[in-house]
Amino acid sequence: MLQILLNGIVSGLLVALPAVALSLTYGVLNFPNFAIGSMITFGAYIALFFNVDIGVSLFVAAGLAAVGLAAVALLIDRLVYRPLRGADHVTLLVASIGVYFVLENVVRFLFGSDIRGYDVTVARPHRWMGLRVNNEQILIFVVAFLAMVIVWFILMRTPFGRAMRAVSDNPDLADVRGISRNKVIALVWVIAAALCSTAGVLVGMDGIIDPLMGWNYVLPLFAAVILGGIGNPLGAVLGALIIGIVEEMATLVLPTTYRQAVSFVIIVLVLLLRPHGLLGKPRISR
Amino acid sequence: MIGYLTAILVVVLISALVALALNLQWGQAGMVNFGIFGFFAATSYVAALSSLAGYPLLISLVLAILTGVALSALVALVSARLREDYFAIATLAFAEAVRLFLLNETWLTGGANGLPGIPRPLSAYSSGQSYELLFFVMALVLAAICFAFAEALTKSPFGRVLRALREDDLVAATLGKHVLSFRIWAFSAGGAILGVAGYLHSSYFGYIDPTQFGAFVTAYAFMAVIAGGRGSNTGLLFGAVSVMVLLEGTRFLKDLMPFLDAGQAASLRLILIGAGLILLLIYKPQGFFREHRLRVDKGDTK
Amino acid sequence: MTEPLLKVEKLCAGYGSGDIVKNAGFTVSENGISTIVGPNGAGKSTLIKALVGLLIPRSGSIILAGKDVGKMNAPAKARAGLGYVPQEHNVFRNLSIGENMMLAYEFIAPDRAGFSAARDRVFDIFPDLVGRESDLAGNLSGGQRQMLAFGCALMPHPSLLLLDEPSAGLSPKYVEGMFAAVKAVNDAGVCILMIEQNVREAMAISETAIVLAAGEIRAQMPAREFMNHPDIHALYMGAASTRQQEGA
Repeated sequence: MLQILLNGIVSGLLVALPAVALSLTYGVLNFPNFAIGSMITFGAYIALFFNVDIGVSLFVAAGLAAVGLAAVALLIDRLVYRPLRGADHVTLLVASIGVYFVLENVVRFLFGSDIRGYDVTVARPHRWMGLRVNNEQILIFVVAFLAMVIVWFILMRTPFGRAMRAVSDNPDLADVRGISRNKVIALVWVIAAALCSTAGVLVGMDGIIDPLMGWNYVLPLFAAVILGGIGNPLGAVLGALIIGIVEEMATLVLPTTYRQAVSFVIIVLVLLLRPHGLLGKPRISR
Repeated sequence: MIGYLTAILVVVLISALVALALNLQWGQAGMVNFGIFGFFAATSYVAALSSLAGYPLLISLVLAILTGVALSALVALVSARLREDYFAIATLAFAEAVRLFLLNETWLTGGANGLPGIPRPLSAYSSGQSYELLFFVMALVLAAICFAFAEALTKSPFGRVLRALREDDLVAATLGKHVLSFRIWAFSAGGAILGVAGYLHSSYFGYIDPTQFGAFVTAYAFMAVIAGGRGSNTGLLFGAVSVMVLLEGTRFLKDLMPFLDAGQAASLRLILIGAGLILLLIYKPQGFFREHRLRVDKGDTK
Repeated sequence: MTEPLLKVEKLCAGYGSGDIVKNAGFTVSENGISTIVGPNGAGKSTLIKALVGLLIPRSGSIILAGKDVGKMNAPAKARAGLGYVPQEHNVFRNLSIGENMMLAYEFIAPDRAGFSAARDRVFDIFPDLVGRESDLAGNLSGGQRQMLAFGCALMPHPSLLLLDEPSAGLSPKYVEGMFAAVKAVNDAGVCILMIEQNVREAMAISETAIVLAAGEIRAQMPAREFMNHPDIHALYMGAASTRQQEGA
């Protein structure tokens, strides 16, 4: 039972990273970024390129992936989302699906559909207090924890973080208080890209890198953000952890192939019973 | 040549029907059905299973339509109250659940291998080239009925209420109309049309598997509806045709660029679709045709 | 006669195809409070948005302290010395009082060291805010939020402060306090341009009245003259579109 809990927490932490990214972009840009799954994939593949094709260590490759994905995200914002600034939700939604297709298929075009893997040695699992823990899990735990502390610090203790929260809260007022919306948006994309590429590398370390890897996370990501409350990054983390644990527990009764169904059920339940999620505030629907 | 032409035309008709359904659900009623590929898949499989079990054309068609209506009504009942982006996520989640089901319940759906050997309707009456023509005529008739149905709904008082609801929930609700039931009806009407589309799809191709029903179906449908000008049924025809032209045209990409392998050509096509969707949204969000009533402005930028 | 701090000339602004504000022109001088009055639907919010930078005017000029700020967006105008207290949604509800005040300062004022002095100044005017820095702004009462909004606008030492209906929605007790605060702030040296529906109370503390009706500036005159005007109706409707230079 404790093993299930452990596995659940770790997989939850993994989802928490892009969930925070999704939550931040939702708050500041005011639309759900469907392309987030493809950002994870893209980040993983940039790292793959540097790690396998160029030959740097995975650690360095991950750093380069963050930079590369940030550049791509900024480019996409400039080309796609900036011309659509102020458009209604659905337009932005559909645009982000378009972006999804482009990103995922650029990866497929350049790298093909075969399953690839990073150039890492697979260590044997450790035993700790009677539980089986492998290196990846420890890494995920440490990296995710670190990432979240950093994001928390940025959001709560720096002017830019305050600016991000201000723009999420009230964009017009933020304008009037001297905050440059475009700069804040750029920063959000950079942070989101760093989180997504890190998640992509961590997922890839499990051994499966293929163009569809990100799509499998779209549902759990949205479930996490909806469960936690849209626009609340802390809620996103909480939501992700809960989903991770519930998914693991579900494998006791459901075949593993139905893991994602858990997210589906959670989405439906939350939207029906408490649409603003655990930590969100009730909003008047449009 | 005739065979190739009718093939394209049938595919255009099927896509036009999917777009028609979306036009009813989203164009008229404002319900953002991102998961349309899931409903399409479900009706297709039901039609296929029914045909494989030996039931004649009419029965399979009716079963597919009923499936479309039932699933749509169910999803709408649960989610109609939700705001646009939440509704989109909910339908997407549903579609993914359908996909999971199709992949895993191999005893019923054949899993990733799908269902081969679906009997073609009316094959007793003709064969070869004239069969292609016959099938096309049948498809045309069915499509025409669906279009007439959709047009009738659009021009009726029901359609007017839907459009009023689409513009402003709050105002429409104060008029005393039961917002929820109108939306559920509209969504289900779209589901019925998807049933016809699903039947045509599985009986034409004779073989279905889950990869035919990916999220790209959503992309095509939205492209067609947006290009045609949301809400306009005639514009939608134009939209569907142009999307198909784009797709078929890009099929020739492989011939133009022989250094691409099949997989790359396929992904290039999808890249173009994604880019096309984005360009459409930026430069022609109102589509190429106007809605047949008042022109819809983009609305407040808030 | 000293140069007016704000000079608006032939301003045209609107959304979509038409203009809501047509050829507006008026001046605001450093001494005394100027108040814009007019019937509902006169285009007040459009005018304010154009002045503040949330809407870029189609033509005309806005000259603040000799500099043409007309085409600048809101953040640039804020840095040019224009302060603004919106009528609604004027605080960041999900942030604390302290954070609201920090935000109001750090992106406009160039020196970080001046923050605590600015904050203390605001606390002097609005003692209600003291000691509540970690409270969420969204949990404040309407009147307290208004105070916070006002205080925040003051933080970066604006040269001209724009108030959009500061007394709207306030209970009578708070209205008195609000206008007293406005007067106090003006006495301390901040130039104020106000939009108000509460004409009598506003005129009691104002030097100048500016009449806006149907998107046009109908008149600008000393407040006393406005209050004693024999035909205010005609003023609003435009029959007597007198435009006088205000006395020094």
